[in-house]
Amino acid sequence: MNLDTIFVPALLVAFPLIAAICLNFLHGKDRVVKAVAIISVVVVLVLPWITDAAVYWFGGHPQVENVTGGTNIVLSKLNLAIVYKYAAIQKLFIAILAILASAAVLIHFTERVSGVYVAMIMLGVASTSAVIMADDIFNIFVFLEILTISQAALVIAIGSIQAYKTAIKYLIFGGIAGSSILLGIAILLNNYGLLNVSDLNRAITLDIEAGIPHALIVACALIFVGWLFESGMVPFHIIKSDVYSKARPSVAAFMQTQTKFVLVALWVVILRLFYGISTFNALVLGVGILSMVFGVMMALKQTEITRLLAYVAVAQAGLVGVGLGIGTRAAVTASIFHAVNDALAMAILFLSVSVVLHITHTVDMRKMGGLLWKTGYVPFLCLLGIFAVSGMPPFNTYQSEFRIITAASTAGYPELSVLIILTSIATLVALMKGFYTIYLKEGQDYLTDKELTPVSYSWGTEVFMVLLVAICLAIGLTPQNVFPYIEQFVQTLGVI
Amino acid sequence: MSLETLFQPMCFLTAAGLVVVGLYAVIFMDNLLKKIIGVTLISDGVNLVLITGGFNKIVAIISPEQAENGVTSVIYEGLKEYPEFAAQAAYPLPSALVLTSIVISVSIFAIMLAIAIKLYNHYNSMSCSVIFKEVDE
Repeated sequence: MNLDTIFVPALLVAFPLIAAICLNFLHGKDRVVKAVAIISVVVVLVLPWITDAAVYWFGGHPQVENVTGGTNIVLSKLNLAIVYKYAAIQKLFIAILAILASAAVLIHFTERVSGVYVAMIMLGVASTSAVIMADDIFNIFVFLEILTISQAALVIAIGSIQAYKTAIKYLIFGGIAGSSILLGIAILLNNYGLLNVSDLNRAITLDIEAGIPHALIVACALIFVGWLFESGMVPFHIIKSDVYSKARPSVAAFMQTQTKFVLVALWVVILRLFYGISTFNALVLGVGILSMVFGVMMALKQTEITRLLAYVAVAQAGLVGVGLGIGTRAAVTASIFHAVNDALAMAILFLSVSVVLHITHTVDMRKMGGLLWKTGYVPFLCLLGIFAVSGMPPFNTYQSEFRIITAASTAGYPELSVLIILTSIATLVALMKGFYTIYLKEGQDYLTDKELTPVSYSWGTEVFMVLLVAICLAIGLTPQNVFPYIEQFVQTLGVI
Repeated sequence: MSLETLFQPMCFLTAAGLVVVGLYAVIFMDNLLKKIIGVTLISDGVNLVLITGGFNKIVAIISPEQAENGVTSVIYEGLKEYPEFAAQAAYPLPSALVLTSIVISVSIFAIMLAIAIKLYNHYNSMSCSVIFKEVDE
């Protein structure tokens, strides 16, 4: 039996989708849901590693150069199918996504597990994987909409009225952003009759030789608005941070990873289509700087721990945007590398907050304190996470931030290098303020009855935190294990 | 000017109208239900643009290089034998896309309505100024 024909890239999307449908129907049957959830998590974790790098066609046929044999049939050179591309970079993204999805499921495993909750996690895995792999712009739109639905549903899972309010705001904005992307796609389809990104790239390249058509600029603007929403950039940073802060922290860790990967994947698509529009990079750079600065400034003034982390996540997404906006090959490579690194580092902090909330039942930092000796290794791991997010050596984000700073200076933006360093310092200050109020400040009422005994919490959180810290350190110490694959990916784009 | 020539521009105008009305509802109306309807109107307008784009338009499914060399697709080559049909045939791809888009819109609409019911039960009001009053408190 040839395993290559079984473990195809399509399975990375199809399996979580099927698991989501099954789990949804099993809702209410706790034991069965747990069993199916465990199987789904294991398969989702294993699938990215056993799937070989390949290009997968849903129906249709691969591109053909010539047809011989006396036939007068003209076969198209276009990708007359939905194409999924699965290479090293996609493998890395989906594997990290799977780890954080399994954390979001397994950390709450001792509680009663909701089938719909696990289903939405699986839906999130499927939709993000599809956006990362798809080379078809309409397919990307469909899965972006599914992603919005799954994220809103994961916020609703909290069950509070505040969560419902956040979810409906997110869906209203998501509906408008989705329509914006679809209108951009409609304009492209109207002008070129194509949906495949590679084919559109070739068609647009020929078209813009005679000048950039107005329709192309309009399509670019519309899809760009959608990108801003999906990546939580200014002006959508408030709604995105609201979503992170209202969801369970373990789910927020998963969501911020989805956002960063979608940010990169969608930017790659936009770049391949609209690289001819000179202002595009300047726009990305502008919103990147604004998101980075607003994010970190808002983080500094927060009194809620979840909001603090949410704004730091937005600021870090802004930093990724800055690297992409600089637009040189070195900056883009460093930026994609930072998206991977920051997703891992931010997840450590969100997971540590998961333990804190389990004990304190409040997000208000003014009511917290005294948890340093109550939560095992969590404060130590949290501190390592803070260093990782702030870009300190020997962690992975140091490698990527250093590369972005170097690329900014080389590209002629030395002032941007200073801004990135200042942002890193401000991030460290904001996070250390949170660390102090949670762990070092004097104890609060919730600890008085059990002052001397450690407080119970899910040990699974600690396991995942250790794993993430180990991955951050491993990438930080040996970036050559990851970085060349990203370099190779950026080279193959052919437009930078 | 014949009705057929006017059909496509009129459809685009209608779509623009739907989008503008939808945006107005989302931005300026206080009632949550009207905002939700506004989102669906925007979505309907965009669907109309998508499907109108395919009206009476044969787009050659060939690569740009092939087109430059004067090659036409086998799919539409056959249509030359039926000029009347070819003149009136619509590009079928947008129809398939709109179908998918409608399903997604309905899903989002359903979830938004379900949340709106929850919020109404809690606040006994559909007014956004009531529901989102203490959101930043």
